[in-house]
Amino acid sequence: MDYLMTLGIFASIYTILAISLNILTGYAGQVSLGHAALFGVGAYTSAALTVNLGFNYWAALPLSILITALVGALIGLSSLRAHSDFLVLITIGINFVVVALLKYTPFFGGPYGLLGIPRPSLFGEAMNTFEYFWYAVGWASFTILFVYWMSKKYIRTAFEAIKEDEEAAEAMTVSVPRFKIYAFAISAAFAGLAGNLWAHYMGVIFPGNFSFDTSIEIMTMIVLGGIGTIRGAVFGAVLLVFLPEYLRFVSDYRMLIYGLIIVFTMLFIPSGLLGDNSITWRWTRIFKKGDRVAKNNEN
Amino acid sequence: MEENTKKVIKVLKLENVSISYGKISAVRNVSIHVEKNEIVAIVGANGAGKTTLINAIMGFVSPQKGKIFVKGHEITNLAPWKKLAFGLAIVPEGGRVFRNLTVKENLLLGAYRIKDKSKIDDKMNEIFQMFPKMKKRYRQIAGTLSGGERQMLAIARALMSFPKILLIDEISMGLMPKLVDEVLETIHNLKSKDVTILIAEQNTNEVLDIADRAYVMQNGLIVMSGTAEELKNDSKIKESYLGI
Repeated sequence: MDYLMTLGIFASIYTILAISLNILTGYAGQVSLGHAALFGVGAYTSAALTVNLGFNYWAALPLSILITALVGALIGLSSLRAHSDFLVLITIGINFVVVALLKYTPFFGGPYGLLGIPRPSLFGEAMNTFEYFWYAVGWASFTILFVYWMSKKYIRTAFEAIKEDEEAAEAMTVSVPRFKIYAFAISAAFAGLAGNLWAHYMGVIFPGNFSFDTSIEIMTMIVLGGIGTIRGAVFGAVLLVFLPEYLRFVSDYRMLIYGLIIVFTMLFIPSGLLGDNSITWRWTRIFKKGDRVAKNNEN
Repeated sequence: MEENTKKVIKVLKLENVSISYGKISAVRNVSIHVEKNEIVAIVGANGAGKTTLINAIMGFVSPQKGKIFVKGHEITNLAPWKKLAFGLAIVPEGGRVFRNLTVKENLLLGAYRIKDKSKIDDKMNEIFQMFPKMKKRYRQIAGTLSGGERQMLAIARALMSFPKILLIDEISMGLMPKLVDEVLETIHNLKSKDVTILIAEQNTNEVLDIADRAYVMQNGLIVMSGTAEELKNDSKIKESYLGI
């Protein structure tokens, strides 16, 4: 049971990560292959605050989110100069730099990482796995609801405009730099939250947890699920957390499988399994007749 | 005569504007003006500098030399969004609507700087009266619109910001001739809406039908100017610059 709970916690954390990358890449079109760096910043901030500086968990939580958002905004500055493929290279570089910094900074425990990160306590007692599961699920649900709410707001339209045509967005005097920074900061805030949840569940973190491999993992989740949709991000995250646990061969060749998933999804179902225009998603909509009639009438 | 010209308000005025990209000079020493409620065309071949000039007025490129005035206020180096406050709006080259967004979302993006919701609603209704098709296609993704409808949407989107001066860049790009006329007709009708228009266009003949005056551009220079009538009837101009 504990094992299932643990998987549930991982699924929740990766759901938050996938949704957070989806804000940046799916909504605002800023492709990042260094998202694990922000995950790491959140984890290490919270761990260092509680372990090294003696902060209470509940104080470290908002601080770790805030600091990660600030780091995200700083990384976002690079997106103002570099576009598309160059931005991808920059984010990859940042991922390596962050891991290296963590590895060589004694304050962060160097290659041995940080140990003894406390579980958050509820009514004076540290949460057990069962409680932590619901805690993580709660945050994942909050993330889904928040991003759903945001996607109905003006900011989402501005993100989409920037994603589609930066120059045209600028012609509408949509402040492209501002919204890019927003996208990076909001996305980073959730990555920071995920990092916090990870660190305080595991109790120990290493720089290697937040390497480029992890970035690829997160990207695979949203690519497979369907970039630009919340359901896709959730589906991809949950599937890729549970799958390796039940198919042993998958876990032995994890990175190979992730690589293949990216290649094949991009080639054959570029909008992912549950993306807006994917065959598989439309297939599930066939039974919703009302929907189609309404669409036809509009035309 | 002298008295009269002084009284006419020069809504938009460019003085000796020069713009270069590195060593290549795109616009050289251009001085033009647009008066209130006029439609003024900038015509000329591809690469003559028309788009650069329009972009400079909106603030996407900064001129190395020269000044730009709106109603007597200098706006040369203001950021694009500050120029909106002076009533400037642009319909970019080819329209460039956001194909993945709905008609509604496209229109709302045009009203990006307007905070008053009721004003936005009023403007939308006004636009639906002008473009009934936009109302019909309100919830549709802009990518599903036809070419002509897309240009209409681009114009409508620009109108959402309550412009006094509309800069239109190559609206006819990629449109079939029949639709070019239709779109230009729409622009002509904007005159009655108290909008001053500066339009850059390659379809010289068609745009001269709706314009009051025009400037002919070649290699970054204004080589000729006059009323649309004059330019249309001048055989020398036809041959050498307009290719009609």
